[in-house]
Amino acid sequence: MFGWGRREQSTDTGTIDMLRQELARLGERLEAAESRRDAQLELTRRELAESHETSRKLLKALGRSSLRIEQIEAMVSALGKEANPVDVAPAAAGDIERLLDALDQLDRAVASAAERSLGDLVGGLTGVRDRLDMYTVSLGLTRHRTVGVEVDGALFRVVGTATAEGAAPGAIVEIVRSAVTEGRRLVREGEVIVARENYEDKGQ
Amino acid sequence: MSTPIIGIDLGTTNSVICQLIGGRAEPIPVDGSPIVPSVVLFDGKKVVVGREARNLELQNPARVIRSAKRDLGSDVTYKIGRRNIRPEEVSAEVLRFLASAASAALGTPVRDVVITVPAYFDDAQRQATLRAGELAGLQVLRLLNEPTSASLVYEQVTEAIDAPEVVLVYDLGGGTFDVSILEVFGDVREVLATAGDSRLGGDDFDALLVEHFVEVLKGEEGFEPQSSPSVMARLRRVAEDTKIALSSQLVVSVREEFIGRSGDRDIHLALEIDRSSFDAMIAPLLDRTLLLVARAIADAGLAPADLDRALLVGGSTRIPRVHLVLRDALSDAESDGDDDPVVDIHGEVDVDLAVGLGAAIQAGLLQGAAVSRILVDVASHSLGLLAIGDQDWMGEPDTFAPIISRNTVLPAQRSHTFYTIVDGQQEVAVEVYQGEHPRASRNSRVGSFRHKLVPGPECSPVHATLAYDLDGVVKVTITQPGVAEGTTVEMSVPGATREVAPVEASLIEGKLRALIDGFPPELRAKLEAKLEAFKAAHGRAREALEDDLHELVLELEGDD
Repeated sequence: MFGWGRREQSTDTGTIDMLRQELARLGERLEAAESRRDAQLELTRRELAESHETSRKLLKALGRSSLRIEQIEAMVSALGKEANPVDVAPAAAGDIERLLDALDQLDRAVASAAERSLGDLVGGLTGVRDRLDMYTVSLGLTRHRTVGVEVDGALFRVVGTATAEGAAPGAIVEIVRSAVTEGRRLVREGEVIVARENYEDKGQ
Repeated sequence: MSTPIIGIDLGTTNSVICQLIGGRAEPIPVDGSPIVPSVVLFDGKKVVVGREARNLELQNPARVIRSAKRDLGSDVTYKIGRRNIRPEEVSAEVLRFLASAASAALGTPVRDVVITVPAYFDDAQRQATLRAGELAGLQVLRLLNEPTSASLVYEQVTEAIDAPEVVLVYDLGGGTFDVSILEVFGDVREVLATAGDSRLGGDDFDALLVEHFVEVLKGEEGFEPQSSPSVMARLRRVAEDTKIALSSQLVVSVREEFIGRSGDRDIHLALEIDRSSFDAMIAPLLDRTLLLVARAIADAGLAPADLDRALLVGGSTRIPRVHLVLRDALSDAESDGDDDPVVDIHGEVDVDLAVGLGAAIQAGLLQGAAVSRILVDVASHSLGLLAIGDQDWMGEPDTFAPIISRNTVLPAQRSHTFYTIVDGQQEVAVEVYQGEHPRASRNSRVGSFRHKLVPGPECSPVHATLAYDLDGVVKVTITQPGVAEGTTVEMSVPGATREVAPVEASLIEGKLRALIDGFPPELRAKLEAKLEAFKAAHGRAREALEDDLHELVLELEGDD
């Protein structure tokens, strides 16, 4: 807050009033600027905290995934080069299932960070996700998660429909769970939301 | 190549096709799974059946037909485009798909089949099923009642009894519940009564868990899970996984990250659910099944004490609570003096496939094929702990709390939660018993030990896990939630396992005795000792001895 000093009281009244008004205006502008700055700081603090929390959770999840990868590698190695880890070792299959779930969660984390324009986090998460994806590829697995294409009932179960501007009826608009194949063999059925038929859009 | 012997369980929700090969009934996987959704998609001239049709149902609801079995024998027709389709035509598509997949898998055409139908199907419904088989190009050798089919497959794993038996078949599937009372004597099986609920099954259990998750998520401000189909789909999957996990675990940690968004906030589902909460959720639904059980028993003019066995069928019977409530419902209050007062409950076969496997066995019997008994090691008695129950309020604790039920396939591991009875309780006496009587003192004591507790308030949970192996050794582990250290003690259980292949065993014995008759006394004594050891052995030891004896018989027969 601003106050008047004793020395200024000796100047003439008109100038004093003018100065008083000018200073009041300046004070209001400064207060507004401070308030905006505080709000911005608070927002940044909250975003940083959320990003930190998200990163912490993801790092924890990734830590668990890495541990599982080591276990899976050990099992795969034990089974030999010819072994199919999904068919032969139910325990390994369970771990791979958890890894695939974690990858789906990473897809969501990337999307969430992108929506909030958290560029650094998007880059980091995408890198981690791609590295894990490369690991699944090395196991001979392919994750199917392309949106915009017509749904294939052999790969995906349709779990919902949605209106989607510009999307052809039956086109995938959201991957709920990625489908996974090993060559031509389905390892895990996926789940998707597809674009609704037009007549449904018209309320029929 | 000989004609394949095929049985088909044409179910309301799912179907199964099985073959009898080498005397054994086995499922034939279709599209990677032995369980095929009974769903048909009529897409123009193309007909899609099974998993793919089910997968596209939400996208094409007007072109997909499911549960046509409910409408068999009625005047219902389904209008799809310009076509009017009758229920038997839909069932025919399911049968054609199954037969075609089986033909491809076996490399030979499938023609002669046995198809199962509910015991309550009337003549019109049976005729419609026959017509479906005909439309699918199949020769239907027989329509077999579903509970009869289940009893046929269970007969291959249970001890044969030379007297008429009354059997209850409790069939709790994904979407339907049926209970039947059968009288079985030799090859004759008569259905005495049936009851059921065509809208009750495991899917309802999943729905209750989904409701619970939705309530938890609603606590997140501004988040409406029900408005998002993808969130609900994820919750349904998590619910099914949780239900399955709770069959073997006492507590399940449910985690589903990034389940949704509220404004700028990510929402994660994170909670723990224990078996007792789940049991409480499904209790009203299980009570409905028990009312139907009571009605079927009464309709047959019987009392629970008249039943000899109960056979479990359907995936939902894997839930431990199902077994317990059925056991309680079928125990006879008046038979307190009996040493074995409860009905023998069996769940040794794959409960999802039991009806289909039985159909293949029936097809084999009709075609004169030999049917082998199935070798399964099962717990010969229920195994559990001494506890303080409602009936102990005046005297010494004497309640028997079974944890591993009689006839459970071994090896098995089961857990149960007990609760402390006083504030600050410092230890618990763990006394292990085996038997079927609700009073522990009427059963056999296996062993005991003491476990030090971290004192807590009255009614603090204590987990007991029993791991029972093929050699009749039970590992008893006592733990407290949140306490790292537990106590594990191993005990040997006398007469733990029961082999269920008496016919084959006696064959080996008979053959060997005939072959060694002329042997010098010393050698004969040695072989007889081995035979006695075989007769007394259980589990893996018995299997090893049986292999030895088989080899010996083959060698001796070769010498002749």
